[in-house]
Amino acid sequence: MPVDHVRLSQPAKDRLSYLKRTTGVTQWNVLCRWALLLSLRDPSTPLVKDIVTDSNVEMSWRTFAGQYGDLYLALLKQRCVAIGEEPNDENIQRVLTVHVHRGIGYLGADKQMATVEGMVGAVVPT
Amino acid sequence: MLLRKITLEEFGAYRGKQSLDLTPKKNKPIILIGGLNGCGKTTLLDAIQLVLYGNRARCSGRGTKAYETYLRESINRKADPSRGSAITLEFTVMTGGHEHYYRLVRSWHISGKTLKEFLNVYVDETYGERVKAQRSAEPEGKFNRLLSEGWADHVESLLPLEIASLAFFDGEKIESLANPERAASVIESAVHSLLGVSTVQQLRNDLLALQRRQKLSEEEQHLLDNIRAQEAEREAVVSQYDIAHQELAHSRSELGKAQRKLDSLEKAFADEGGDLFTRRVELENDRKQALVRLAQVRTELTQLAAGPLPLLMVAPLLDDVRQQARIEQEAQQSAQVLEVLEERDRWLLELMPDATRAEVLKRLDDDRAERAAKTQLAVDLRLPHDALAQLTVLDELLQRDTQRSAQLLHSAAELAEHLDQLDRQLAGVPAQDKVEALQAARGEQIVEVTRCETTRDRATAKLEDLKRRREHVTTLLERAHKEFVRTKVKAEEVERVIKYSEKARDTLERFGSALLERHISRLEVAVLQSFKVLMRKQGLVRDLRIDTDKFILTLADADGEAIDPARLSAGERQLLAVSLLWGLMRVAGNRLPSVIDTPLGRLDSRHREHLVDRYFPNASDQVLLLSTDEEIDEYLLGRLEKSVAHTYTLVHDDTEFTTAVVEGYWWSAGASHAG
Repeated sequence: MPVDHVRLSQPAKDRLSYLKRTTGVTQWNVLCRWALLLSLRDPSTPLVKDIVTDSNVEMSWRTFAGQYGDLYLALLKQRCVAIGEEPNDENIQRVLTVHVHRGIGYLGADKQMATVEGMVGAVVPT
Repeated sequence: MLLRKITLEEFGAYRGKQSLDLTPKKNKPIILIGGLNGCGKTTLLDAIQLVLYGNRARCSGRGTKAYETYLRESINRKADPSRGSAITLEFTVMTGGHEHYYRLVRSWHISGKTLKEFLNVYVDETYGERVKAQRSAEPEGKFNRLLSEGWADHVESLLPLEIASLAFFDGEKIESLANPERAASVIESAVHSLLGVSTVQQLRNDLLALQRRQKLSEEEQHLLDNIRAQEAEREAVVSQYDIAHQELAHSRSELGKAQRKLDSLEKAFADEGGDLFTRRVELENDRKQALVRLAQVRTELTQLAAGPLPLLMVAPLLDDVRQQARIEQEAQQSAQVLEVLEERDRWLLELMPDATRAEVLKRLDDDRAERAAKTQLAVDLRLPHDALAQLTVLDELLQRDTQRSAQLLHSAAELAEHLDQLDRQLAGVPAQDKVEALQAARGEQIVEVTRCETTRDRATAKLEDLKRRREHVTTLLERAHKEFVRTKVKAEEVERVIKYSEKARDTLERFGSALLERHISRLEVAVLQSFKVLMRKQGLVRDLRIDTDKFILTLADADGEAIDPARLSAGERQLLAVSLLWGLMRVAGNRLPSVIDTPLGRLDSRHREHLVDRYFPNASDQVLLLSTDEEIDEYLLGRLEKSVAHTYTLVHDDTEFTTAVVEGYWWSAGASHAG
């Protein structure tokens, strides 16, 4: 398994705590998935390279990825390849952390994403 | 009235049956009855009065004795008390132009210890006519039970007791009349009864009685009372009706006021969002439900969000992954085929001839090389072998979740919209306490309006009831009024009777006083004339006055000075009394018999002559003269004789103590019998 754990920085945790309240989504992992995918949608490479994962929020890869772990891993590998990096464990871990944090940023910045309807509505064509 | 005959049976001193014919003859009015003292002259006078008036008779012999005792003692001592006594008086009376012949029998006897008295009246109403026809007619009296029983009343219409006591007088009465003060009462009663003044008074009293009788009968009075009661009731009902009417109007206006107030309150309530307020709970419930449903939707959305849904964001990337997965799968398949082909090629080359082997070998190598090239991946992500299958499943799941999400989002939007609306409505509902006061007021006002309605309904019902009652009473009153009209006619008649009787009474009073005046003046003249006729001293009395108020007789001398009665001698006073009676009788019209008992007691010879010559013959149509031998003596009898119709002497038997009536006077024929 290339990724063991997912960890969050303190600011990310704070932001997610806020989001947990506004959206009613009480699980860290769900919000982190949304954050990751939101970030992955953006083809650009996050500017931040180093994330200090200093918060106490930590979850296993299984917890994080859940049922669709293979697909998440494939997406991460794909991104690694896309940025010209060897999809090895180290790179995958790094890409994951960077994108999760950027996604958390996006999630907090987008007002639409402040509610679960907004979140779902953003992805579901209505 | 003429006394015809008197018969005494065992009365007083009269023994047996004694009869006196009292009928006067033409120009001979005097019946002279002589008798010594104690012979029974006064008893005879008493007998006349007793037979006529019974208990009421003023008999000189009775004194203060009880009537029954008097009757007992009047029975002759020698007679059988069980047979008793009887007095029969026969007389004629002019009634309605006809001369009626009366026979009056009063008898009494003692039965055991009780005294029984009988009065029988026999009347012959046709006597007068027969007398005219044949001169001497015998009376045929028939017993008249009605008169017998009601004689006491009837005799008053023939000869009132008051008048009888004047007409039948004795010397004692004359003596008392001589007293001026006692004369006054005699004059008064005489004037009143004898001269018809009392009749006028009686008429007036009768009219008064009539007036008093002219009251409405009980029934009519009842009718009137009824009408009054009904009128009062109607008045009461009408006033009650008016009050009820006012009450109704009042209650109506109250109701209107209350209704208006309620309206304004309701308007205020509506303005303040009252309607919404009443729906507040509803709204809030709706909102609660909506929120619950929204929460459910959100929960579901959250669940969906926890699913594969976010992967939709990276659909292009997933396409890439799918592509890669397909490539990797093909490469793997190709690698497997290559191995199989290498083995098969080796087997095939061994079988082939060498000539073609090289060619075939080359071709096979090329094919393998081509295939091997396919297994060479530009990028190898080492995706799991089931990645494609996973993606296919994912697609299906996403499709499903998308649909569901769309539904949920729609619901959420609707719910949000609904909540918005509810919130707006709820925002429209004013603050609770403000409306609460209004609502409380409104509730109270609704109660008030209901109360007012009830009051009005009650008032209406009451009014209706009173209306019916008023109509009922009016109908009754109308009916009663019809009755009343009849009664009123009667009442007016009564009123008229009273009015006219009042008038008549007034007239009668004036007539009475005028009559009295006239009678008094006539009496004055008559008495004066009589007095002058009888008096020896012609010049002594010039004028005579009778006071109409007190009936006091005053005399005046030639100078007009009043003469004190005390200055008159006893004889002169007696003469005055006689002339008073004479005058009264003359004014009354000589219709009644005069009974004069011992009239000449104190008079001197001149005065006796005057009486005998001038008074007795002219005193009345019938004069019963009761005299002693000293009063009407031989000389006077001679002067009187030409006027005398009958003469009797009462003869007393001193041994038997009985009296018998004998015809003739002492000095006339048959006087030999006289003791």
